[in-house]
Amino acid sequence: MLDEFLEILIKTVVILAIPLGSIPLILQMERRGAAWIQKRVGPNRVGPYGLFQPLADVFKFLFKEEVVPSHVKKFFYIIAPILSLLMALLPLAGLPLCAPFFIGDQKVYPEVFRSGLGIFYVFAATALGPYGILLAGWASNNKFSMLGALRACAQMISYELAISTTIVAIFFIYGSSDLHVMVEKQNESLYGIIPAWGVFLQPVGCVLFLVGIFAESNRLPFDLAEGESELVAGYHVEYSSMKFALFYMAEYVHMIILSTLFVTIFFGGYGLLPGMGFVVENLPSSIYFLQAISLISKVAIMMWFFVWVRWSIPRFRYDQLMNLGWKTLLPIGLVNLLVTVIVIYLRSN
Amino acid sequence: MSLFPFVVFSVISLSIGLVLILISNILGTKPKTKRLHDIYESGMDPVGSATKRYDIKFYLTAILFLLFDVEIVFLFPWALSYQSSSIKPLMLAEFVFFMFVLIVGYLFVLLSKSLDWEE
Amino acid sequence: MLDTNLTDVSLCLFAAVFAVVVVFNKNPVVAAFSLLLMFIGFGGIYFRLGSVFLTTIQILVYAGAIAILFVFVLMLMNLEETKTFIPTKNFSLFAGIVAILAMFGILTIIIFNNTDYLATDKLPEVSMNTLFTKLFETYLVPFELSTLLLLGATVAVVFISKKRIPQ
Repeated sequence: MLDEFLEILIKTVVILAIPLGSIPLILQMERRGAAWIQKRVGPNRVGPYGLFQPLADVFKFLFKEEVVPSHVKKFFYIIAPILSLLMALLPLAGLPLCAPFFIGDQKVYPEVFRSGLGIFYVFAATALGPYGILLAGWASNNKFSMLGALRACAQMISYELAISTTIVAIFFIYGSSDLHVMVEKQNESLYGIIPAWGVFLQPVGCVLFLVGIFAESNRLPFDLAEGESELVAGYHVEYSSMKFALFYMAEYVHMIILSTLFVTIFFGGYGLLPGMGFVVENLPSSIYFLQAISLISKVAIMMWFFVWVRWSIPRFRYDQLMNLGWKTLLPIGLVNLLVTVIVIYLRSN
Repeated sequence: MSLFPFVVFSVISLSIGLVLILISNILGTKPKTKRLHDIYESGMDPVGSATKRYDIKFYLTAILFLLFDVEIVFLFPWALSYQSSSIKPLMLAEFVFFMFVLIVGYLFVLLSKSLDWEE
Repeated sequence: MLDTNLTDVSLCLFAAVFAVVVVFNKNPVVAAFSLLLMFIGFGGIYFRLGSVFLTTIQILVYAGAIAILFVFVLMLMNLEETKTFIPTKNFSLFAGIVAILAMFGILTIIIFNNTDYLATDKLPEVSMNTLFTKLFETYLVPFELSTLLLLGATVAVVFISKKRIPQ
């Protein structure tokens, strides 16, 4: 019993430490990347290449003046950021970092919560994401917060539909909801040349999903929830110090989780990167470590993509955003699903 | 089936947020001016209150999301069981009918201009 | 193993406590959030009973969509106005008695008609695929009819939201 508990504890700590620990790095990458794209210098004073800047930020957040405005609903105002972070972290429990491995003769799954739900768990936990935001907007008792929360939530649920249609198509192709099975099937190759990644099997679905994760994580060009010129900062306008930082963390965790899901479905997940096969041949036991490295580097590339898009595409207007979700992505998703099913049916006959 | 790993995971995740807020509560300086506690409205005195009526479009978005979400959730088991099914033509016919009704519903919503935000 | 009846009992208590909060809390938004937590508790109970797919539906549809709709609607309305509505004491007493009687009546009917199904054991190992085969072969017609029902609901929603109240 203690062994089991220890196993869960170790998995939890590892799975939580990787994304939370990489948030400062992502932040620094984002700032330096933004500066590079805009031909600025960016933060370069604290430590070598400004690498300690995120650390300085953490201390700043900790020592900041803590304001709890008098008009807020105090209890909900304080738990909203905590819940926000919790809801953002929950899907992590279902994401695999590497293939199931053996300790002695016992098969160990890398996910904390292996439930037989597979991707359903991740998806269902992501569906709870809007609540932290809604609670924050309502508890703040401020026009900007409320409108920001409503906007963010409406936008998240709208784009969830497009993502859902893609996931149905993915289920149809892989015939399983287990992320391990999906990765295994993607490690085969198509026509012997290219890997059977989901992106080649479902190119339209891949684009839909990609747009969807930008909207779900409220990132530019879809960060209408915090359109500065209209809403100042959206749902967290009344928040300061660490409580504000928690919202920030939740947003980045959200990005990391959705990217991991995206990479696992469409880009081979923890499947080894090219060139790693050589190492595995010489050192078979390193495979699980290399798988984790592969997954993390793929997610890191996605993170850079987020930054890249952020500084390349301007913000949408709200009606354009809703039109894109409901009038473009949803019908494309439905048609894509129909076409996928019919093509596969005809090919199998 | 065991829920225990999930419980451990959520408790640890929850405590991360709690601990961070507690630390900042202990370390952070206390605000000295009363004005900081006012409603933030870009430095102006607030106009009206936050509990006003908002656009019905938000309600429409939420309820249409609910309806389409239920329909798409119905398709999850279909997609998962198709490959192991012995009666594929029937399954396909079911799917096409289902999608047909879904798309008719979507077109109705589209043509009724319920999805238009600009006015 | 680490799972005992304690988990089940605490899950049921979790759901029951928030159900009580939904009924008795005066603030509608708090009640809606309690409803969400109750739904999540139900999801946990389904999971413990071995019905994985039902858990997914419970969380995705009930917690992820229906509760959002409730919270949304309550936030959209001007709640300050609605606070003035206080049902008269006699009426709520009457409604409460009717509701309790109805609940016990329905429970009695269910219990006496389905004694076979009331096993406290967990479900036998039903894989998701067995369930799905049943859904798409045995219960094909209800499945297809459900989509028509949802179509009807869509039409109704559009009409409700289009209705203009003359000023």
